[in-house]
Amino acid sequence: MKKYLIPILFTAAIIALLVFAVRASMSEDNNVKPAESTPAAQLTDEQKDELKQGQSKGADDAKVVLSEFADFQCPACKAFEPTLAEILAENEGKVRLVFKHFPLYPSPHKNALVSAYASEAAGKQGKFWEMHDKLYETQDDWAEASDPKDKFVEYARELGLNTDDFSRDLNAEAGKDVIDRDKAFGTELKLSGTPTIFVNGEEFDLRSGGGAEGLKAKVKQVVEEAYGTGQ
Amino acid sequence: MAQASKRFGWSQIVFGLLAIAGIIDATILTIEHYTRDGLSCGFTGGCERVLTSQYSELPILGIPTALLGVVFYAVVLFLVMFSVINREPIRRLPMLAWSTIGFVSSLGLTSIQAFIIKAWCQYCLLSALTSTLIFIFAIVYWFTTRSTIKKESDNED
Repeated sequence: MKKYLIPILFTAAIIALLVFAVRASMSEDNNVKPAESTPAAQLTDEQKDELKQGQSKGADDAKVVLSEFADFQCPACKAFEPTLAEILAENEGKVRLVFKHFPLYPSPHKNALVSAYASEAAGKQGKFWEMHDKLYETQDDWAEASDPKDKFVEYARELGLNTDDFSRDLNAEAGKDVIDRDKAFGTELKLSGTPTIFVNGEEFDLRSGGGAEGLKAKVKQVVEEAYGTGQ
Repeated sequence: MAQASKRFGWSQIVFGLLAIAGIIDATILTIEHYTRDGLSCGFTGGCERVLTSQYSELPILGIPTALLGVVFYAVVLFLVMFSVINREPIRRLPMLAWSTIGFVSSLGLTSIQAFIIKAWCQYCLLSALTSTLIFIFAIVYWFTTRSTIKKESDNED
């Protein structure tokens, strides 16, 4: 028995040591991030206005505006969708969500740009958010496709869009102005990736801010400040 | 016995170092898997796609695949510690059998990255490399020790 026990204890001790060291060095990495992104923390009024422009969801007169820089081919953005939906549902009438395009194109997401065009092409027919949801839902099916346009037209059909118009708009790079502008704006804000969230013009660092739960808490706090705690 | 363990001291060092490298790597992956909520895609992304895929967890109980990696290397390390502390050569059959399981699993996980997820994850590939090296050394060890250890460890087993 002792023959096994001591090696087991030694093995466990070495592993505990390694895990501890890895965790310590990883949390150190995370702490560096917010410091790097501080230059973008204080935005000008012009930039804050720009954050409110774009396809949006929720009450138009909401006092709290969430702006999300996202990429339809980004799995982290997809994973983040339920959180945003929850925040909107919990704060109905008080929060508006603005979508800002930040396609990580051409690398690592080769279909990020064309999927952004697809969303805006659907937007021309008033169904941006339906296509937005559809694109995330089907992400794995088109992410690495060599030409995903046929699939996008299929989704448009499923959403009840006029597919002829959709195809034409998709091929004409619908919303290119908006997408290019968002991308340039995101670059100006020194975004490190997607999703990046701004709450009333203030960047919320997902890593140091506690991820989805942290964002929910932050929004709750900002909503209470804007509307009072009683409501 | 002491003589044999001296002669095969290289194996303890090689397997030991590979196991430690594997544990570090798999621990990083496990932590990344659990903190994926705060993860984002950057211009050099790819890893998050693999780590958030359905294959990043076992179909039952939601155990992260990366955690199984930690368990795999932990057992390799145990085989090494067992041999070091009890001053005997590393057991050949357990090492070969266990490293074969690791190698086959890595092969499967690497194929999933290549053909299904179609994205690569640096640390996953590093782990595949580590387990492949362990497998290769286990084969080498099996053949180099065949004649020497057999008689000695037969008595003990």
